[in-house]
Amino acid sequence: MTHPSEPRLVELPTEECWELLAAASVGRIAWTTTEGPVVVPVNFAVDGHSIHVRTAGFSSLVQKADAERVAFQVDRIDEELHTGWSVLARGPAEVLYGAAAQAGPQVTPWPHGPRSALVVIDVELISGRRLEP
Amino acid sequence: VTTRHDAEGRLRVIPAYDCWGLLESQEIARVAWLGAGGVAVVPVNHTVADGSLWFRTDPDTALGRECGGQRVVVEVDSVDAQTRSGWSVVVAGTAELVAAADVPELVDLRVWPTGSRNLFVRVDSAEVSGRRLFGPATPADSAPSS
Repeated sequence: MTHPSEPRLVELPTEECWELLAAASVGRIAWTTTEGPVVVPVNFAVDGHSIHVRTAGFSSLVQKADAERVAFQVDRIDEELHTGWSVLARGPAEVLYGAAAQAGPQVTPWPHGPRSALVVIDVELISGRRLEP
Repeated sequence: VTTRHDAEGRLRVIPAYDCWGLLESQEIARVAWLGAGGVAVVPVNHTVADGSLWFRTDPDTALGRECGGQRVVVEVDSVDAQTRSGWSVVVAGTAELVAAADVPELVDLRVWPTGSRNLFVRVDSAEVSGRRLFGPATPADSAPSS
């Protein structure tokens, strides 16, 4: 049943997707394992057309995501107004250690702990949608 | 005794029972699946009923076309940037497409956007897991210093 006041989904232009992505501090990184996909919220930074995520050198993320295609998603949802937006970025991930991991924008993850590895997602595809009232 | 201060910046496992409660506390979840273009993540309306997690989508979307019979994860979270704290709960299971006529009546699943979204997906909740990140202790948490 369609009603004029029901929200509708609108595609977002690429530039707006990048702006929304860059303004967020927490996103969700998704990668694939033999047991299926995994999704974890992480702190991140945007550098040009890549996404930087700092993590522990022994994490499941660095073991499974290096040289694999991953997804990165951010959104903002208003549960009262039933509106919001979501941006999905996809591309291959590269895991860097040591001096190479110190380059680029500084990301300080909220959880404490060792963060010797840097995951860099080279974004090849970005898309987003907004749910408008 | 674990104090709030000890917990600051630490990730703690959330017991399964509490994970279900947190899942039900939010209307929007994010589904991740492995599609033709690699792994993808999109928000969906969801509900917990009949021992399973349910979501609805449009059969013409990539999610609707690709998730049936696949292993998927459904993630719900809540994050507070001010206190640098939050939680995340994930259900991992197999997505089963259910025709609208076969959906049990107790599955009360409304969707926000207009459009058909008449494809119901039931996720057999093989595993639920969650983690909570504690933010810094606030003055209210600590005893007055001497």
